[in-house]
Amino acid sequence: MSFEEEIGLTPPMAERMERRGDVLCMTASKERFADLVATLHQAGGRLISLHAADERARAGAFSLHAILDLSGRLVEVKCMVPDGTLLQSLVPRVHSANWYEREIQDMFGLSFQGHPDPRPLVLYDDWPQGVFPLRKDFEPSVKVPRAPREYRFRRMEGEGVYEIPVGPVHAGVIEPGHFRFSVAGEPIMALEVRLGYVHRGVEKLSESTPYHKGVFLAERISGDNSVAHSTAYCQAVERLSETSVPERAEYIRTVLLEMERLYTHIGDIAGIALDTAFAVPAADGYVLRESVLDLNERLTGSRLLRSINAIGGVNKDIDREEAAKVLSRLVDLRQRFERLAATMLASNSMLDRVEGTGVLSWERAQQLGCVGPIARASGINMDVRRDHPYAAYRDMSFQVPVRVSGDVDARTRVRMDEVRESFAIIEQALDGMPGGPVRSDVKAIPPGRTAVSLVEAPRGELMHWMISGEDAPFRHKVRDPSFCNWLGMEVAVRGNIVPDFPLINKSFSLSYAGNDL
Amino acid sequence: MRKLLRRMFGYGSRTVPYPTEAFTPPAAFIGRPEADLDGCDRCGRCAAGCPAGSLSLVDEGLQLDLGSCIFCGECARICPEHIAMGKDFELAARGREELKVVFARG
Amino acid sequence: MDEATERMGEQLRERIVQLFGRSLAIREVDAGSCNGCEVEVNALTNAVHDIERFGMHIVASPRHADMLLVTGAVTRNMEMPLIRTYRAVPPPKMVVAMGSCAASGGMFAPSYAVIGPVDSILPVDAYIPGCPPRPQAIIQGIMVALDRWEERSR
Repeated sequence: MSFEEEIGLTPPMAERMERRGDVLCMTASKERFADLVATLHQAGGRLISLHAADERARAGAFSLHAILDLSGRLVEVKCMVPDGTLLQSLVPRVHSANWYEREIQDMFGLSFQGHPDPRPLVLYDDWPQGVFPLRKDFEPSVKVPRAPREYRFRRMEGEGVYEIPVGPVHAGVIEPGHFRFSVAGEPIMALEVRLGYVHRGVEKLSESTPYHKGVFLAERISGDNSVAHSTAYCQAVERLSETSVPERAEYIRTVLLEMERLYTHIGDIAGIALDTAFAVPAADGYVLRESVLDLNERLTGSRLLRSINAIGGVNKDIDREEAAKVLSRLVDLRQRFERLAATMLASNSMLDRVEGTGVLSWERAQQLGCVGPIARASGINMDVRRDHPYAAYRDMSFQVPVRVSGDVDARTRVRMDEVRESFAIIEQALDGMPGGPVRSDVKAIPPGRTAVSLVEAPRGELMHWMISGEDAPFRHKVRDPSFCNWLGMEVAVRGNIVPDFPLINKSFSLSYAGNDL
Repeated sequence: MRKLLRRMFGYGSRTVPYPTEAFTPPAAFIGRPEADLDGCDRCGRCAAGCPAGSLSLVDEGLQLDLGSCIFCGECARICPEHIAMGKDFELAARGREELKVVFARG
Repeated sequence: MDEATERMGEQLRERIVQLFGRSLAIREVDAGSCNGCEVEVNALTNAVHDIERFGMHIVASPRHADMLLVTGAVTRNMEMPLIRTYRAVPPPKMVVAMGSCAASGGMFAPSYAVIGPVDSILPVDAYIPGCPPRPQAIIQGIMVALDRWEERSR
């Protein structure tokens, strides 16, 4: 049975099909694109990304790309869209296409008919109409004037219902974003999340950043996921240039990726203790996080593991002595972590706060296309390290924790389990590290090639997709896991009381910078 | 909880006593770039290769703008003969211009 | 700890009380950061770096603050929130630009979405280089800002 027969596709749907590495690429006409993507979605295809590129100079039209994971197989669907085409919105059939279509509208000016919510996503209240930053004829150095317009929030009317606007500047040390609550008494009736405050124009900047400098830009997309983003970026460029990374470098990348997961997860777990006013383990948790940051620095020179990933491998080697020291420190850190986890989970008052709070059901998590620990806490069994292995994960033995209650408790326990797996993976990688060089020479990158790269960042599936240009990417699409998960917040807070909002937010632990780009 | 508290009291002080005492970062720490331009031929590869555009060739030698430096170490990788990443991290200044450091030509 | 270093710690505490009559209240504002700086600002309050031993603490509202610690290259969308936050700080007030982006716009300076470094919007009392600056560097930067403040009040 052919692939098309397998998934119930009638032959005329795709005009062309070809393989690019392990990705099945389909080209459809602009009229059939939405149907094809919807059919793939109905057959179980999860939408990884939906984005556009301005290929008018090279091919006379914009290109629209959908990337899906169809039961472990990566599928890319592309169509060419001449300027002025009115496209059919995917949202009625593929709910997770929502924010992607809004972003394409903002950045390219392509319109989707039938989109339930065509308000601007990242470009703001005073961005003039008709100016689309990711179009090739948009000149980034020209200052864009301010043209005020109104952004209408969804309103909830009723007796006793009032609105609470929170942000963008929040009460703690946290990134900016706006939350508009509709409450009746204490329970939250509705939440609207509005982000884009730290939109820095990463994708446009990338188009004028030479590949070798782009690694540093990638590290700064979402600062606490520097290794995840830079690994995804490097992998994309390595695929474009057919550069194979030495095995030792893959192992080192694995160690770095897991150390990043350790410090971010431990910080999130300490944060749950903090937000349930459980001050003693919170303080201990933050000291444990500090110990990991210190270990990061001893290993790489950088507390946030920056400046070590490079195209073709890594910049620095780990010597045997260092590796032995790290291993022994990890044993101590692991013991401290277990004691911290035990204290937290033994507290009835903490469990009372987290059990049943902020529930995200499996159905909603599926519909919204959620990824990462949040998805795994709502019963979705997915992990890029296992499903589409990269770096040295094929050689590693680890579990993927999944829970079903979808509440703050489940998300916290999933992270705790992932911390345990991370300790184990780091140990395996340091113990089993092969010898050899740590960096390959990078071959020349021919323009016009496409590559996709997936990484399991601490927050979930992260994607970098690229069309190569001469010395820099022609188009670089970054899809941080937070982009998939923010709408989950709107669902999870409903029915919960306002004071539980910071706790639910902390249990999601999403990146604003990664979302906004 | 009692066990945790007892253990935490046993840890003693974990506070790093900076700035009352000087702080020495770990050996691998990437501090600010230091340059010795003795024999430098002003090829300019360091400035061209800096991802943040913090290095520039000036009449007096090489200017490093600490205000835009991202401490990535590329300059030291491009020209290990003349540039190394040092251990200095006490770099704060009141004025923006004070952050521009010039290494005199050799 | 010898007598000399202990005295330095005392002097720092005394100076803060002298300048403000109480402890130093810091409000952090992310005006466009990647969130790397936020990791280090959060580290300031953990038991290892413990800025509270100097009487410095992070406050929830700009109306309670003496100092704004600003991270990130100011984005177009954060310009007004940053200005409003600054206006909400009652005088006397200080602004510290933390990190490469806040000091110069960093790697994001050429972007259409970035207005510029913090000093293109607000008067800055001290700049802290780093990407991100380590906690000890942030402490040093705050001290440099306090030195300036002392000059200003003469």
